[in-house]
Amino acid sequence: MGRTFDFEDPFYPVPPAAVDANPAVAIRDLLYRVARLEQSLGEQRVQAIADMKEILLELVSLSDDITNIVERWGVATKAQEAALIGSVIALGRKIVATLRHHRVEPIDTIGQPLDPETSDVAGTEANEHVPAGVVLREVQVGYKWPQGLLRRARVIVSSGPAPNAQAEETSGVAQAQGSADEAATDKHTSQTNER
Amino acid sequence: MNELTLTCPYCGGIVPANTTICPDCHEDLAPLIHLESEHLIRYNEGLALAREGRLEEAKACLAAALAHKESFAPAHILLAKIHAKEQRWPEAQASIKRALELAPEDERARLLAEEIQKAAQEAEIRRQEIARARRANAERLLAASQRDALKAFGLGVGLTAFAALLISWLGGGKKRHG
Repeated sequence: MGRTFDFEDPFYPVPPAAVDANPAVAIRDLLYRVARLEQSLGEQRVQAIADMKEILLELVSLSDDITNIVERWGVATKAQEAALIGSVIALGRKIVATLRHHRVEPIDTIGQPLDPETSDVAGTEANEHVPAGVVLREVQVGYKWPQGLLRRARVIVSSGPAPNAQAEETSGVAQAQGSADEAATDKHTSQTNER
Repeated sequence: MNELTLTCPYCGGIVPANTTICPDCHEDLAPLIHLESEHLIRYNEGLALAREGRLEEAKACLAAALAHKESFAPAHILLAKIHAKEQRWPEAQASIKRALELAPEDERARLLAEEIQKAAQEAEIRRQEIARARRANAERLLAASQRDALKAFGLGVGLTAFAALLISWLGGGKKRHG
């Protein structure tokens, strides 16, 4: 028998640390690390959503303020005023575009039955033409976003036709006055809360 | 002998063959290198055992190496040598054939294949000679036993005839005296 059958083949170099390593232990450690990272990532995601919600609420509030400013200003009589209002409107549009970019959509409530999931009742009003429980107008616009509800709407709901005309008239005047005051108070409160 | 270089899965850096720690991110990659070079570790174990003459254990290690990486030609070569040592020629031929399929330009494997082929043929010739010798021996023994049986038969017949003659002679003598 020739020398070819002798076992003189060379050994392959493998680092001793690699030979002694236990992959099962390493995989267990890695899985533990991955689990911790996943948990951390989840927490960061929740925090990021909360931060984003806060920023978007600020923007929504800013948008409301700009709308109020423009509505209160009315028709501009001077060129300077008109330019200023135009700038404010452009700013408002930018904010709306930003909100749209983040898929923030206003909740459609007017003319719809009250949805307690998205809206709070700020007051009621008697109305001959609108059945009870239907939203007449918004005191505060509600918004939704991909994560759900961003801000609840505050609405005035119809209480149906008044019992008699006089009562209706009286209550209509009082309520109109009251609701105007209430709306102003609500707006102020909501802005304060949001801030 | 090709050296193992590894790309660090953590940072993408190149880890040299002589270390298990990534020089860039300092992660310990020993377990990963262990998994990547499992066939080499098993092969080295098999080679050490074969050198000690523990061929059965060596074969088990090489089987494990091939289970991890069937295309690892050196393990087939070493297995062929172990089979050749044990004079298991069909197994040796199968192993070296696979090694040559995987590494057709490997001069060492080619020489080993020739050596195994030659040794297998010699073993076959020896086996045939032994068989022939055994057959001749058996035939010779059979012929001798046949001869012995024939002799014994002849002797038996002669003795029987003599006994018959003796009995008839003795019988004739009694009648004459009577």
